[in-house]
Amino acid sequence: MGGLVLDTYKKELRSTIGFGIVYVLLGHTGLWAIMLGTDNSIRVLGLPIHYFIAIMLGSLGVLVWSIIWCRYANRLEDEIEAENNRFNNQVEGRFDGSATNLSGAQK
Amino acid sequence: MTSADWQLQNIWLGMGIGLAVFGMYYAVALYNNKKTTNATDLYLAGRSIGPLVNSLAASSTWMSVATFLGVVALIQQLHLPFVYMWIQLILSVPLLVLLYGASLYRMEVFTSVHFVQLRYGRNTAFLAAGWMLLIMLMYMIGQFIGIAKVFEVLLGLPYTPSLILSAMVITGYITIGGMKGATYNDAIQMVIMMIALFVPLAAILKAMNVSGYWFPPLGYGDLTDTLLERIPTFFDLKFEARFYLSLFVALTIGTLGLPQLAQRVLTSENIKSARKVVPWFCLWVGLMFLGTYAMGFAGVYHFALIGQELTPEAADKTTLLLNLAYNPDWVSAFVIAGVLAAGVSTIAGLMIGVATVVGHDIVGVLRPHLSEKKQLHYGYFALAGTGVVSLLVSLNPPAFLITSIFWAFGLCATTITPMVVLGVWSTRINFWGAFIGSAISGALYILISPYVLPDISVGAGLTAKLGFATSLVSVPVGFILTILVSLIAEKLKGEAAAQERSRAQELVEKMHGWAEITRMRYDSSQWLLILAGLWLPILLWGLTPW
Repeated sequence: MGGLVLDTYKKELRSTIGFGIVYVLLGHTGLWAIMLGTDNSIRVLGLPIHYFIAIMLGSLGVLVWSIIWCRYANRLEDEIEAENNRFNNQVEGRFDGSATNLSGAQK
Repeated sequence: MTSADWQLQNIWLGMGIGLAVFGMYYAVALYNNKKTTNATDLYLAGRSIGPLVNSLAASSTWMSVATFLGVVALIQQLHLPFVYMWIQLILSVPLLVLLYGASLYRMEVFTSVHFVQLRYGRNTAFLAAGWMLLIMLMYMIGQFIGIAKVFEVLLGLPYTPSLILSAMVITGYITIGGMKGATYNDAIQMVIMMIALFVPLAAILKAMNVSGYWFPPLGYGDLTDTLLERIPTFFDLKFEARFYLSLFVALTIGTLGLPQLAQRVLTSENIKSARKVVPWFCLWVGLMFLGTYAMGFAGVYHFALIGQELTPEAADKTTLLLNLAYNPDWVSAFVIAGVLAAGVSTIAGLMIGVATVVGHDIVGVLRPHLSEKKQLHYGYFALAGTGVVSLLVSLNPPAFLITSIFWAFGLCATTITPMVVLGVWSTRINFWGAFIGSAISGALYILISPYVLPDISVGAGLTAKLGFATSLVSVPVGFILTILVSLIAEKLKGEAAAQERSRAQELVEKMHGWAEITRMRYDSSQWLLILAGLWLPILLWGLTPW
């Protein structure tokens, strides 16, 4: 098995963990607010900033991150398919080679 | 405040709107009935649904009656912490597709139970089916009761006739249309829900003199100062850090295991299409959530301003009360159509989920050689049967079935998510770990909840009732047991465990899309032990008194 195969596999593992962690951070801003504190006097569109950040990251933030993930995951899928094609070609090559050897032996 | 305050005065208006929406749902169901020719059509819409329709359908399956009724009441009770509790529910479908949706799709399974059967065998599949049926039944009964209450408001009927009528009408159209009909109806219902939430909300905000009324999701900032004068603690965090961590453990991990959402992904026409569902889902659900917070905000503002304390039942009807106060009757009737759409779409997803588990997964294991035609007959029977059984249980539900749906999410996080997610990402998880982990942690979750043995219950008050405190113990136990028992069984079971690992190596690599089986991918025990170690401090924190 070539190193390239494991590279794509490792990329799959790393990206799944990375995208998963960011999703969780975007959806769980309550813990951020506990750590950073809250201040009702700082407002965005009239709403307290910690509330505004929470609702924005929990909707728009997750949406933008999903678009990025979707593109990345589809590209990774193509890389896996490319590896599969290389493997299938190798198998067919081996099969063709053994078939050629066999026909040579028959001659 | 009495039921007369939220009752539609013009019953003909209620009947008209009820007939119009259900007439449309039946027409869509009948049209799609003709296209249903086999079990894959019935349960998975022939795996033919594109991302836009599927995302609308997934969103409306996710949006329950609570979106219009319960949520607004809970914002009034809990203020900001409830918003934090609700926000993370949007992560359900993204994390589901990220962690295991594509793998299940490649395996061409019908449900998560079907996956469990292929991955761990029939005994674990029966255990998973038992947990999933319990979770979906708890969810469905809440929806049936909610819809019956909407029928009360709409038609002025008493509760029991409302329940029977609504359950029969809903069961009828879902059984006729199967997953295809339900999917297109769900998509239509999502559109109805969005219009029924945003248009009347904009009118309410305008009547409240809010300058940003034209964009309700973010336009209600003008109300903040008055609200803070009346309720100075509205934007306070109120709970300790452990509460916010428990939201992740109980709700995020719980909802990503929900079988009816997983089934939505499996109806996609291909894997890339299934992935495209995620951003669309986030758009629709994100908008609806923003609208719900705005409605909750407006409700709290309105009743704080007029100085009226609401009973819990009246608080549930805040959306209707606000519409009746600020909008004409026909707008309120349309909002009720939105509430109906929210309820029936969730019931549709759950009914098809239950019917697939019973009619396909369980019957399929017991009678594997059924003909295509008989599978279809069993499927229709399972769908209709699910509706009838749910109706009968809803007429006089046992107390444990009408606990909060949040409690059911905790049960899902404990019993289903570990075996499914770990089974997709590790070849080292085996039958022994999955079965023992799910059975023991599930039993533990039920026993230490306040509903069974209150004396040994973990936590107190709301955090215990909603299953958050309990999840902080049972979910770590579920993950740790699944991992450790699997690894110990490998040592003790010798050849049997080696055979299962070899089978898992092939299955897991294939479900991730690899053509070459290397037996090296997903085969490390190191990360499993790290994961078990990470759960340990959470378990210890969960065990310290709240």
